Amino acid sequence: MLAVAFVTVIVIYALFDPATTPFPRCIFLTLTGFQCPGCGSQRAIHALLHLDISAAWRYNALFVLSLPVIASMLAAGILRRRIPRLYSILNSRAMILSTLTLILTWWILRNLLRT
Amino acid sequence: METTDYKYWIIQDGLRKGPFSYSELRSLAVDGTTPVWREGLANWIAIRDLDEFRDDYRPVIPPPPVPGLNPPAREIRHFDEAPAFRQYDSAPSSSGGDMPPMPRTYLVWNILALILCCLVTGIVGLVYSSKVSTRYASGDYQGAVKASETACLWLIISIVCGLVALPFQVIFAFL
Repeated sequence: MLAVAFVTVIVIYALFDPATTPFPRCIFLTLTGFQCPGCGSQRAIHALLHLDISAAWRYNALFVLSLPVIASMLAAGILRRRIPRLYSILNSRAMILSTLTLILTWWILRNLLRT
Repeated sequence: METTDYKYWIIQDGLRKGPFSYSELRSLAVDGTTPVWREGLANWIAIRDLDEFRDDYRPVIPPPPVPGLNPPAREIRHFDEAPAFRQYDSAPSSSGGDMPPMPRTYLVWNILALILCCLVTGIVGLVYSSKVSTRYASGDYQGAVKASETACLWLIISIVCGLVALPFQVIFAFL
């Protein structure tokens, strides 16, 4: 059932462009005028589904970079019992802290660069 | 490090026991095939294969069979066929644990929840995700399991908040 929902979402993003069609919009952006770390992800997904990597990069570079990381973490999660070492490493304290730092840095940086 | 200073663990009856000092373990007089581990070994090995116990378990050659007067056959359990051993397929880590795999941290989901659903609840969820990691690393498996459950709970809260906020977000897109 989750797979059906996932496929539906992908199809919607492929068919409709969040840049022109109304899609859910970031509340942080609406309230503060500043971008959150995820702003642009929806447009990036649409661009990637149309193989336009440079456009996706412009919308949200961190999002594009995070896709392989997310994929490997999901894989590690599925293989958690078979290869416990992989999961432990990808979920280690160092990994979590550096991920958070990266997201925070991106959050601040992308707003500084826009002004 | 002197042989007598080592701490030893064994697997007996499917349970990991220890630590024992050298003399304690010797006095236990366990079966020669009993898996044993001490610091310095890459993996469990049979106690009779460990240098400091080798002399204790040197094979004894039984007398030749006498027709009509043979002692009952002894079943020899081989080291790698012992069913209890299969659970332990790696040596204890330096944290001293032989723990099950790390409980789910829900890390990726909590990050996505933070960004897409609700900033505040996402942060709380992330805190618990990282608690899973730190507690597991320090050997606190039960604590890690609880943190895992709490991380999952906050993930669900984030999703609910996000769903509630969704109609507002769509309205904002029209503004």
